[in-house]
Amino acid sequence: MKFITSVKSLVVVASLAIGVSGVSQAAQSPADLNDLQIAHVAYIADNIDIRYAHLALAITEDPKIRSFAQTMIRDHSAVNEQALALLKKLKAQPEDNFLSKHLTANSKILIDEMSQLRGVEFDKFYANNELAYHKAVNELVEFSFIPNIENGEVKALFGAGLEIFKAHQQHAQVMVDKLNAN
Amino acid sequence: MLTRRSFLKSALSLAILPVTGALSSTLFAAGLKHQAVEHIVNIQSFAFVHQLLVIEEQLAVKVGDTITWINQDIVPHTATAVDSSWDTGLIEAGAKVSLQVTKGWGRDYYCIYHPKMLGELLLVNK
Repeated sequence: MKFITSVKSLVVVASLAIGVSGVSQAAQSPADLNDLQIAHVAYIADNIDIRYAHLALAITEDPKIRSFAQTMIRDHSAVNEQALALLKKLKAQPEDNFLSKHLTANSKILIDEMSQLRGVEFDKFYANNELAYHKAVNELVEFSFIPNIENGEVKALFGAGLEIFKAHQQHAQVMVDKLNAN
Repeated sequence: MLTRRSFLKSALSLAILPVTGALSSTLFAAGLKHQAVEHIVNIQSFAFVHQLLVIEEQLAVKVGDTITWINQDIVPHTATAVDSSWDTGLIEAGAKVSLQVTKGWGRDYYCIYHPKMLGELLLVNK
């Protein structure tokens, strides 16, 4: 299936070690990122899912998928507000890095692909991508980010975020199962 | 249907206080005497955590009681009857919403935004 190739290219972020130039810290693995770079990745990852959700609301007519997309916008916006407030409190600026760039580049490819789809074809692509995306990001957060975050408040926020995103992953799984059953 | 007069919605900034064992016992006793009481449900880590008079994971309530849901998560939630007979509406992060229990309330509820979040009421003398 076409989408599987695309999703796989995203899923590898959890374990990739690619070289991308132009990053001051020259981090090449998620585990090498510092707190400010991790914060940047999280902010980008939230915004990517918000963009997917807006695309879904523009295309799908399925009420359950529309409801899910609205929840993604509501929750990821809330997490980003918390993250920005914490960074402001810490007087810190998030730092762009290879992984943020990689996520952004992949999301553009996926949005281009999804934009061409309509009806059930779109719904299945969106639902499967949401499941794969949350699974990949959750693994990244749980196993690469949280163990390496040094600041206690940032670590706590990522812990809270992980609970939310795991709930999203479960929700996406239900959505996928229902679409596959039809 | 949720009646407007029963809907005591308040979206206030919170200073969340733990419910003490003594208070819990007092309200347990009050519940047994069928006096209207306020039940507190904390929403924590994507779960409804019933604090008072819990019987086999159900929150025991009766008509006239008030239930207050306190959202301690960082995203909005709802508490919504599965049969749509009552609904808190959106509970912002850090806010609380109170509803007074009326006749005809459905037992099972969930968060409409996060359908895996489930809660259950035990309606006494329904």
